[in-house]
Parts: sequence; structure tokens; C-alpha cells
Amino acid sequence: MKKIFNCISKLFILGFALFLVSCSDDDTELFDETPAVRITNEINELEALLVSQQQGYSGIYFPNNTSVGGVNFHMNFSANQRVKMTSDFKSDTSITDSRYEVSTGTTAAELVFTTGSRHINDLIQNSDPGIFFDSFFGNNVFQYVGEENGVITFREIRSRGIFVISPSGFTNFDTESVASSDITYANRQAFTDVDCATASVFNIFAMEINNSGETINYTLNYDSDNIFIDLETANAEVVSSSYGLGVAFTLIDGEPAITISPALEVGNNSFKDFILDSSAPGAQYVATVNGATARIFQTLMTTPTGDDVNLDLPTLGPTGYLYRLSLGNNALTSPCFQELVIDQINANLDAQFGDGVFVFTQFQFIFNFDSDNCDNYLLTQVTRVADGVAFTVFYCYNKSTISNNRLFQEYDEPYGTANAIVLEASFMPLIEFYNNPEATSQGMLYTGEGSFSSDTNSYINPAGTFTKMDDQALRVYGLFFG
Amino acid sequence: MKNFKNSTLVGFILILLSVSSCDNDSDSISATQIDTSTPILSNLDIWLRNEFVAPFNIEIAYLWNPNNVDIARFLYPIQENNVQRWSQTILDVWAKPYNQLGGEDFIANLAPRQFVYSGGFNFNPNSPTITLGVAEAGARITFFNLDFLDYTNANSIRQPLQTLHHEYGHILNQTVPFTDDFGQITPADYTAQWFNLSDQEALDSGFITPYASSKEDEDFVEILANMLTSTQTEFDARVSSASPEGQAFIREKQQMVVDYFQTNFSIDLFELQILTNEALIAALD
Repeated sequence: MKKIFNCISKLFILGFALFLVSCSDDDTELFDETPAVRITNEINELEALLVSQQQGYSGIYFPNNTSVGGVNFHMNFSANQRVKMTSDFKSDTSITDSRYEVSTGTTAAELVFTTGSRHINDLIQNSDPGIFFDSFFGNNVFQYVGEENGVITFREIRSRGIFVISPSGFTNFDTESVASSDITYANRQAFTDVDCATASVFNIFAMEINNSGETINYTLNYDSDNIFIDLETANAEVVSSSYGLGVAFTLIDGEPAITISPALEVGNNSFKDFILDSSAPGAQYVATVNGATARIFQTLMTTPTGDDVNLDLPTLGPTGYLYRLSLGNNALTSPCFQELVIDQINANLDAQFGDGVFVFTQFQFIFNFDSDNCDNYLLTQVTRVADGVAFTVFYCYNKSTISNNRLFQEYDEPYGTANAIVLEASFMPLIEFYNNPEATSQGMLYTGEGSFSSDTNSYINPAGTFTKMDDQALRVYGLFFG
Repeated sequence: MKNFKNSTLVGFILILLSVSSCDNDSDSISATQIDTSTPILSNLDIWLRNEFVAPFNIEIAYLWNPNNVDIARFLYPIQENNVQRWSQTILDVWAKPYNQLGGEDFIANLAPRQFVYSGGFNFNPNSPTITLGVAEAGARITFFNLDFLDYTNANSIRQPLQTLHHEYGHILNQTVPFTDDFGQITPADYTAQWFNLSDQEALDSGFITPYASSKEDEDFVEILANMLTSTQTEFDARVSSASPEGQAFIREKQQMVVDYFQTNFSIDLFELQILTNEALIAALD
């Protein structure tokens, strides 16, 4: 019994000592205030910051660095929770007047645009007619990260967007913000403007980095729909690597510029802002960091050998090569093919039948290397808009031949029916695209492009491009079927 | 043994003392941290308070609150200049007709407490469909694509009104359930794969829409919503396009919906149908 008594007594003493120790208030709190007080302070701080600039803020919103680029915004906040804003995402840069609120978010104060402004809505949902769902990954809710030297940083949670704004520096927000948006929108459009009379699909964008005596060259593929670039380079072992960067066409100290996100890290240097070099020919943007330079420019690439044609066409061609508008866009279809072939066919149809009565919908080319009996032919289709009825006509070519990695064939005549004859003139831009006689032309360059992929669809079907070598502005991307 | 008891008692007292001594009673109680400041009210807010909050105790939540919607979806707020027109339409095409026939407090007593407005479409992931509206627990109805309403086109306005009448039908049913007999008219044809049915297949099976075939309570409110957003002539024409068996089923269901309103709310549904459709036409440009 005594042993039990001693044991229990010791346990009580031990327990008491533990309680005394546990009461220690060691003053190691991470924050001086409660979470509620801190977030209230954050809200008050952000509200005060937003309305502190009479001429508002300007900044770039990068909604998602892995798939889309950035958009310039100019915003002027009022104490009555209204915000005027403009952006350069679309051509309509006029100011909208909507409401905002600074409120309690999950972990921080949030800036919420509480009523719709098309400048933000357009980034959340593409409302263009005929589009089912398409998003630029935007949002109207931004988490406040902090302020430093007047620069306010927000982050967007759903798509990991970054939005950084700083005082606009305008003297008249209403006029200067719109003017700025117009300039940056125009600069973005100008980057890809081509003159189809002189353009070549082999004239490409490139990036060259000179860093501590070392030069790195990248091929730069610019996706104008998503304002996004894919950089591709190859090392000495011809192992290629690529990665994407968001792009924003903006103004830095009043100069046209490109800002990329995330910044490009090369050695110890970080390239982010590229300023337009107006003295250089074409669109050339240069970033200089610690004596190192990075340059975005246009250059003429080495023309592909075209030897894919020997492998693909004899086996895939007879099954049929298809270009159908509803399959979506791929940047390998050149803007000039769109303008000089597709748009021109629709313009011809308008002139022939009235505006919008018929629209071009697809073509197929069935290749044949043996017969001159209209087994090598072009199938074209137009749709009557009023009732959706499709009309298909055929145009015959003499048999295809392949010589020196180029494809040749000569147009013969419409196939049989009256419709083919009636529509021949309207379809002539496409008929001429495939009309490449061996005796008088440089033929067509074919490249195999793996499986089919567009901005709306991906299929396992083999895909490829045809470039008319007599007019190197014209290139089409399509798939083989059957 | 006595020492043992005394020792135990002392030990407990010591522990109690030590526990109570741990209280760090710094000034933790201060002014409330709930924001009780008066919100900034625009003319629109004042109008909504006068037209919805005061008479019906219904909040029109047009200002974006991310907690009201699925944050994974790419939705956006309604444009401010579209709020009043749609709100007025709700008043004219839904609240006033019900109040006219059910009594002036009908909507105030029996209504969702919040309408949430969203400007853009609610696209369903991995499906070529959109969600037109959402009702939650009889308390909230969310409308989508309100920035795209075309007041020159009756069908454009009919679509969200159908959502409203549909969801309000659920709220009425939650207050006064309909009888089990309704579900016995076409019990074997309710299907979770309703979206595979064409309009005609649904009609031939005795459902006014494909969605009506999903569950009996959806069946009930689809008849209600379709009646209140079309004239009886239009409704009859739709029913007439069904197979004879389908027509008989739909008519039997329609009669039960009509009886439900008459018995439980003393509302002549055909009269309500006339009022809602007249108001719908009047709401157009």
C-alpha cells in the first residue's frame, strides 16, 4: 500500500510540474494582431491605395503563364466603389464604368470586380459568335499580395494569374488610357501583320541571346490568338528543347515593348522587357541586362528539304487530304492562305450569289500518281447558309508526280456537273493553289506534321502542310483520312 | 489509507489550481469585427430594395460574390445595365401574376430569399451543354447568361423564365408536396439518361420535355414551367405532337398539376398561364 501511495504522490507532483511548465507564455506570437484585425487592416490599406491615385493605375494581367499572354489594363478607382477601365485585349478599347469591392478573401484581402466589364469578361469567356466554350483563363477576383513603392501586386488563384499595377502617370485618365490601349493593341496586331505580296512562310520569328560571349538561338512560334510564344532551341547534339512564355505588347517609358512572363533566365541574367528597336528593319525588340542582350526579330529559315513527300504522299495521299474549317485553326495555315484563298473564295461567292448566301466549308485533295482520268482531283464544298445544305463539286488534275522532293500536278477541268462549271471561277484561288505543272512551276513543298492538332480538336490522323513554292506566302495545314 | 485519500485530494486541488492559473485573460474582447457599416447604395440598389427586399424579402444578388457560384467554372458578373430590366421582368412575369391570383402576400410568404445574377454562360465541363439556372434548398435561384438576353425575341426571355417557374415549382412542392399518384402515371420511364432522349421521344413517352423524364418532381415542375411560359394553344400544339399514348399521359399529369394549384393555393393555373404569358409578351421590346 505504501508503495502505491508513493507512486501516486509522485505522479501528482509530476503532473503539477507539467502543468506549471505548460502555462509558460513565452511571447513568441507570429503576429501582433488577430487574423480578423489583420485582414481588416489589409482591406483598409488596399482600399486607400486604390483610390489614392487620381489618374488611376496601369498594369499587365497575365492570367496564366503556361498557356496565354498578358493584357494591358488601365483602371481608375473611385471611393464610391466604381472603377473606370480600359484594356487592349480587343479592338474596342472604350472605357467601361463598373463596380468593385475590396473584401475578405480566403486568406487575404481581395479585389473583386463586382459587376461586369467587357474588358474583364472577355478574358473569362470568349463571347464571339459560334464559339462554344473558350477562355483566356481570366478572373474578376484578385487576391492582394502587397504594395511596394506604389506597385500593387495581386494574384489570381484559379489560373495562377499575376496582375501588377502601378500609378498610370496620366494627366487625363479618360483620354490617355484609351490612347495607350489603342497603341498597344495596334502594336500587337502589327507584330503579325504580313504583306501577302512579299510574305513567305519561311520568314519566321527568332530570338537570339548573347550572354557573356555565348550565343543561344531560338525559333520563336508566336500564337496570336493566345498572345503566347513557344521558344525552341537545339543544342550541339541537336536535342531540341522548348518552352512557352506569355507575352504582352506594352509601353515602357512610352516606348513600344514586349514584356514576357515568366522572365527568361539565362545564366545570371533575367530577360523580361524587350524594347522596340525602331532603327532595325522589321519588328525587332531588344532586352539588355548587364551587357547581355536578347533580341526578337524576323529571319528567313532554311527551307525544309521536303523529303516527307516521298514517304507520305504515295501512301496517304490516295486516302484524301482534308482541310475543313470546322476542325479548327492551326498556325501552320498561313494568314495569306486564309486571306488569298479562303477569304477570296467567300468574296467570290458573295459576288456571284449575294452576300452570305453561300460559305466555303471544306476541300479535299485525293492524290493519284497513275491516272490522268480525273482520279487525281480536288473536292470542294460550299454550304447554303439559309438551310445548311452542302454542295460538293470536283475539279480534275492530271496525275501527280514527285520530283526532287516537290509535288507537281496540272489542273485540267471541272468534273462533269453544271455546278462545278458554275463555281469554277469562285474556286479558282484554291484550284490555282494546287495547280503546279512540272514544266512551269517550282511545285509544292510538303511537310509531315505528326498527328492532327488545332485550337479546338486533336485527332490521331496524320497531318501535313502544302506550300506553293511559286508563292511562298501560301501554306495550308490539314489531315489525311480514310 | 487515509494519507492516500488526503494526498489524492491535495493533488486534485493542485491540478485545478494550476489549470485555472493558465488563463491568459488579456483584453481579448473588443469591438465587433463584423463589418456593420452601411453599404454604398446606388440608385439601382435603392430600386431593388424598394421592389424586392421591402415587399418580398428577396435579395437580388447582382454584385459578384465568388462564394455564390462554382469557382472552378469560368463565370462572370452581370453588366450593371442589364440588372433592372431582368428584375422588372421577374416582377411582371412571375411575382405579380402569382400575387394577383394567390393573394398579395403570396410571393412574400413563399419564395426563394435570393436571386443570384450571372452575366455569362455556365458551360458544363466535358459536355456540350450549359446550365441555365441553379436552385439551392429552396432559398436561392441563380440565373446565368443574363447579359445575352434579347428582349426582341420571346424565346430568349422565355428560357430564363422557364428556369424561374421550374425552380419556383420545386419550392412550392417543398412546402406542399404533390401526391404520390403523379409518379405512378409513367413510373417505369423515369431515367437518369434523360439527356439521350429527343424531344419527340420524350413527348411520345408522356413527358413534356426530355428533362421531365429524369424524376417525377422534375416532371411535375416541367409541366408547370412549360404551361406558364407558353400559351395554352402553344402548349396544346406541343402535346398534340406526341403519340396518342404520350398525349394521354401528359394530359393526366397536367390535370394533376392544375388540381394541385387549385386545391392547395386556390389558384386557377389556366388563369395564371394567361397572366404570365401576357406579361411575357408585354416585357418584350
